[in-house]
Amino acid sequence: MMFIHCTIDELLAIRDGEGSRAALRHLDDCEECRDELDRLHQRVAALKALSALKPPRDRWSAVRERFESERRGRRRVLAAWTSLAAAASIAMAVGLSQLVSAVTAQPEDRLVSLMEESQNLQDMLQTFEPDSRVMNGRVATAVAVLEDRISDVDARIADVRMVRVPREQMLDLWRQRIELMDTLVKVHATKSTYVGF
Amino acid sequence: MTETMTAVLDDVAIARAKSGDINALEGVYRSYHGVVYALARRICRTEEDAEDVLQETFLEVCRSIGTFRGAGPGSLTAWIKRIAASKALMKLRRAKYRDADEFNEEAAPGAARPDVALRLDLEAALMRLTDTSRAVVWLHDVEGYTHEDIAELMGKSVSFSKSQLSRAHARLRTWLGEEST
Repeated sequence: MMFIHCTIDELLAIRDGEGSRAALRHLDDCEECRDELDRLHQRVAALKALSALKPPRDRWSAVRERFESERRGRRRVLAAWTSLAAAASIAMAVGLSQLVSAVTAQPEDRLVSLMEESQNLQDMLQTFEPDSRVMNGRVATAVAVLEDRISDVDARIADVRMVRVPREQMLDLWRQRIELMDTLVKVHATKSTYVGF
Repeated sequence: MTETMTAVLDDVAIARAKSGDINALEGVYRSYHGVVYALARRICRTEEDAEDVLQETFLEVCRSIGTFRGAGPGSLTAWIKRIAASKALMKLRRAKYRDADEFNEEAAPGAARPDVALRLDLEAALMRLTDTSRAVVWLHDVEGYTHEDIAELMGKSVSFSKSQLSRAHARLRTWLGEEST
């Protein structure tokens, strides 16, 4: 009769409580396989007993510096959004006449509509709690780039409100802002469906 | 001992860290940096990579601890170690190892050749395994991750994890001179 010893796969399965009935039966009858299983246990015990490797340098200052820099960036963008949102609310409350007059007459309704859309996206973004997020490095970079670009557009919107500019230029800036906000919301929405850690 | 001793953080300290208190976050770092580095160093090939993983892990912890929903230091340890394992595996995937291993067997530099004449100590044998095999054996046998966990972390199948573990043990057994006569 041919006598086949347990394979490593089978011994690992037995160790993990998943051994087949045939393998377990064989183990009962085979001293050699029992010794092999014992060596497997000893090997794992030796792995667990390896000395802990200690970090050669303290990295907290580097972690703290990067974290605080990111946090400052987020606060700056949030502050810009908040002030713009407030400006939008005031503008809408007074019928937008003052703000739009800086742009020229006409498409007040288009501007109002764009500002409302921007505000809606901003409200949506807050539901994703952007300040308490889990994201990998690639997503974090994408978010940072988008936030920087939004901040840039916000600065340009603030500038053109001070001077008389063609209405299309103002509308175009708000469209850019909406496009960027929309992308940012999508990034956060995608991230929030990812059960990372 | 594979675990570096960690200072115990109480629930108040964890709550403060979750609120973004920088001193509390430093407390989390001080309590867990040894555990994280030890795990990263066993998975990564170099000390520098393990240090990078240490830094990336705690940056992620600082960013995300507000979303941590567990209770008590035990679940915080598991949460942080999972981030560390994920970062370490990402490190393996990146450029340095992309061509050499990329979660495929048989190609890591100087690793995994079934040299029967060789007899190594456990540290050396562990480092001689391919990056993937070493990560699997460490995560499964030492850190207690299931094959399902490892498969998820690596983006591979459960059978891939099992086969890597099996190969790792076959090689360790040979290199440690444990084969029965």
